[in-house]
Amino acid sequence: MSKKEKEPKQPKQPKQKKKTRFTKDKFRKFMMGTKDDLGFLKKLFAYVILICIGFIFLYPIFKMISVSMMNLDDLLDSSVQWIPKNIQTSNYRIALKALDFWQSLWDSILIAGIPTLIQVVVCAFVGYGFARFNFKLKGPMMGLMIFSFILPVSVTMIPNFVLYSQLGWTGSLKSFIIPALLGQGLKSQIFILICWTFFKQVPQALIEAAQIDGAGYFKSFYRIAIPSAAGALLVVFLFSFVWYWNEEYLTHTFVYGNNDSKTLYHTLVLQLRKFNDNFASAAASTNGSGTSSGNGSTPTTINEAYRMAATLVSMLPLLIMYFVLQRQFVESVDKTGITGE
Amino acid sequence: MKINDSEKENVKTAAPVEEAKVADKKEEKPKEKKKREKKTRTMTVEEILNSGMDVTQLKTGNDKKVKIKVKQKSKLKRREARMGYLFTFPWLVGAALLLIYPIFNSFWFMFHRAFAGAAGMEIRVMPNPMANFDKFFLKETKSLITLVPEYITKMILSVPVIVVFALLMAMLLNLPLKGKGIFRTIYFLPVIVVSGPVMSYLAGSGANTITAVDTQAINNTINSVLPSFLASGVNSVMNSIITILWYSGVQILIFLAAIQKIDTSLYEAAKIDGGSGWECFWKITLPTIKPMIMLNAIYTLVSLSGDSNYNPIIVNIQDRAFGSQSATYGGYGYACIYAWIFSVIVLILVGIILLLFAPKKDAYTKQIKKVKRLEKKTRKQLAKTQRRMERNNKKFEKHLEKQKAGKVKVKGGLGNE
Repeated sequence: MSKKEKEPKQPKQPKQKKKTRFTKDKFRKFMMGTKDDLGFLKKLFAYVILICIGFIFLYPIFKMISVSMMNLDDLLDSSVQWIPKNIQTSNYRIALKALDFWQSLWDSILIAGIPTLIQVVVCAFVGYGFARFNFKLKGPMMGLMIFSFILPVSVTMIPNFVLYSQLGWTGSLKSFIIPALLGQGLKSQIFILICWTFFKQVPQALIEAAQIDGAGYFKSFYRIAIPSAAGALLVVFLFSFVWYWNEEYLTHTFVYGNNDSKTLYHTLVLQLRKFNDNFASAAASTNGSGTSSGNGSTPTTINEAYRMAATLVSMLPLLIMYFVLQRQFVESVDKTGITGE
Repeated sequence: MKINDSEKENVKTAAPVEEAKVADKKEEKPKEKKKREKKTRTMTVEEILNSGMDVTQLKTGNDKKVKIKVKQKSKLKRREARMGYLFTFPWLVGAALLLIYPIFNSFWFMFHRAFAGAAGMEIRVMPNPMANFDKFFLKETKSLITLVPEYITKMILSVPVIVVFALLMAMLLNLPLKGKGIFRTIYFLPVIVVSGPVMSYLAGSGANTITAVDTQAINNTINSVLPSFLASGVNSVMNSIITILWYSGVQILIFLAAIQKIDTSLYEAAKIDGGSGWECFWKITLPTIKPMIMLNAIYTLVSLSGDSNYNPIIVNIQDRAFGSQSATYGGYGYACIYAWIFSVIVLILVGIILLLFAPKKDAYTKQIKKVKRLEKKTRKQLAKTQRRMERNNKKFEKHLEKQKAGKVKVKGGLGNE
């Protein structure tokens, strides 16, 4: 139903009929739009705001891109602001090497992906429990959850660390997986709250109808509630993935644990932290292999360009992931359009 | 609406239960004659109230064998409650193990000297268990008196700014424009950047401020227009406006997901009835995403409060907990006091948000709540009476025994059976 109705709405361009006289009314319609269609002015307004504020977010990225391609001379030359005199891609090659990119990418995906998947499932489960059912301790439980969200991390971190090491979770992925499994992962509270608000909006009648048709509590959960809150789950997945990916401190303390010498998981972010140390060896080996970067400057000392290149590279997988997944937003909406009657 | 329905159900179910109980009573009537033989008789509150028994009589021990039964919920409700516990079970376990335990631990630390030593955590008993508190109130009150109001004004100003900005951006991103995907990706950048290591680089290189805008002029205008206590807060918000934009990435995405979940047929119906986009926004979009606004406000508040780039109090706490080199280092228990006081402040702010966005109850629900409260009160009173009665009984029996043994003289007043 709603699919069919939506289709003609979207591709509409600013109104311009075949061959008509140019009247004041037409002009007004073209500029201000009709009820179905945004006018030219409104669109322009939207684009201007989106681009302006988008520029604020993009500015540092552009800056990083431009800096990452400079060589030492350009960096020191104050007349070079944005465009380097000679574009240098060798920075990236060395940065990739210093990061040990492919290995750390895989580690990052592991360390962000597994807890995230568990977290999404558990948070949806718990959020549904809070949203759908009434029970005696619900109020206090939710209060405690919100309170645990408010509590500064530093309060619970040390006792947790002691507990984890007593249980032997530190030094392995367990210290991320088990808390995620118990709904206490990285910022789980906000995910449970997101799921809760979304599941609350799923019409109760729909679930009851399913139950009359013979669906149990679990079936009505994963057949009705989950598809209609797909957008929320996507958001939860994205945030969780990004936050686990970027989590530097907890990864270092918990997943590394006490056995720092053992090479466990070198996520990109951790590699970035150790970039200065790793850089020298990587640069030396690149030079030693004979394939010189073309221009004379020998990259033996670290500079801003390499660091920027490495930072950009560590962010890139997240951006690509998001660009692929954001299409899902629209699709999930179509799904909800059917169920949300 | 939903709450209403469930409340109505409650009331409805209460009535049939009473009827059923009355029917039960008919069956029980023959038993009632054998009341003396039976030790106790269970009755629900409704039964007691309906049977016309004088509650005050219970006190005197006349009807001592009545036990109050708590009204049971319907079977479906009980099953649903069970399912609720089942669904939230993982969280319950996690909360007990990874939340309540550390919280108690941190309380315990407060009365000890806890610090990170060579062999992990070292905890020493202090001669004066309140030493941490003494030190805290001696040293920190002065700085807290200036920091806390500053923090609160900052939050009160920046949370609405972020939420409104995020809502606007989400609305714009939801428009049927070309290049939506690219825009959405750009607006996802803050989520990645703020949580990552990039933010500190940005702050270092000054990329998170507008260099082109003359902030000095804005500050001066604000100073001349607003009273001084407000002006400083507004100024700090204006100065960090770009930072504020950076912190709204998560909220934009949450709003975007929420807006897309709104049923499009609502808008179509509104348009057929002649509603403009403006009206649609106020009458459809805003009410529908109200819970999301609350969620986002709470999230914004908490994330800003917990961000060490934005909130100096967090830096203080971390200094006191971990910075063993710094002069302000006071051990972990000491930092816990600081953190707890801070979280109470945040909790109050969250409470204000919850109050602002709490769904308004209509008169009917209020009435029901009132009746329920009354019922609960009576039940409590009955239970109290019951307990007192039992106590009296025991006393009385003892008394009787003693009397039988002939140790105590008969006293008047305690039942002359």
